[in-house]
Amino acid sequence: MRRSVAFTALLFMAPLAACQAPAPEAGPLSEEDVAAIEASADIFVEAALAGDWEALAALYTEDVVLMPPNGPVVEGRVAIQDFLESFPFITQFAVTIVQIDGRGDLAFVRGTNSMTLIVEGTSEPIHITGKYVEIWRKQPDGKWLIAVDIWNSDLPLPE
Amino acid sequence: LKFKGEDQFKTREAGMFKLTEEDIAAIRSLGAALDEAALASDWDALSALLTEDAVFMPPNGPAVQGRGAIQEWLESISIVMTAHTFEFTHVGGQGDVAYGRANYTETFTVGGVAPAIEDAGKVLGILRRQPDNSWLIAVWCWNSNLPVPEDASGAET
Repeated sequence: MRRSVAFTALLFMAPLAACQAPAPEAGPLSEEDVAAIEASADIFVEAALAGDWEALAALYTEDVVLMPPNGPVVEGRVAIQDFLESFPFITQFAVTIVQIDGRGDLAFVRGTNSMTLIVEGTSEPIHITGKYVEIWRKQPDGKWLIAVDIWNSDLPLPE
Repeated sequence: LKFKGEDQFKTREAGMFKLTEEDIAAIRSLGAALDEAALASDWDALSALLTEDAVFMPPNGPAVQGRGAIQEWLESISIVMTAHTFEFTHVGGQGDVAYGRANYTETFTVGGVAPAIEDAGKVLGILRRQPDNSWLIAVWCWNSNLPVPEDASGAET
């Protein structure tokens, strides 16, 4: 993802690096990293409730992979915005972060969510509770963005 | 105050923490072992691939936490697998934390009773390097690619 101008030098270093196992340990996330991810998660909820798909898509990396239930993966920020625009109207949305952990510029978030949707052609709102895992990547400007996002419902299938 | 070339140094420094080829190979072997255990419906073998505090996040039910609880859950759903494929499509990580995106297909019966159920879906897993340099599954979340069955408002397969 990131390029170094010292690419040629790295080419020569690569065989040496390949002999060095295991890789040194990257440090755990700082309090600032965790706070930044939590703040972005709040913006995520606000954007979803406002139906502001552009603001929501801006929280994803350019090459994000969205893994929604009951459909194929959606790749790339542009495709994701199209996917989000087709999403039913959200009247309630809440997220609880259960775990944030990571190393260096990689983090993962595990949590639960609840959502009430108005689906076209149905009379009653649909309430869903579920869970999710996200991979976050720290960008060169220090901002954290979501690179992979998967979720599913806790609700049992009908008999 | 920032020194010239500091950002480049940081980039190279971060690169040192990337997974080695050995890490990637070990994680792919973990995927192969999971595939084999699932195909054999061998939940004891599958549980051995999990960290002690692993979290399974299956669709249409709550999360299950802990190796012992996951094994009990796997045994309780009485799945008898007749076909199973699993393949990581991407593996990335830093230091002792990695993640893998994967696809799966499966055919199974519940308690060996027909009809057989077919599914195809995707997984996002968090993996942790162990002190002996092996990798185990710490978080496993998946869902189906198949559309929601009729009258299954709000639920997912």
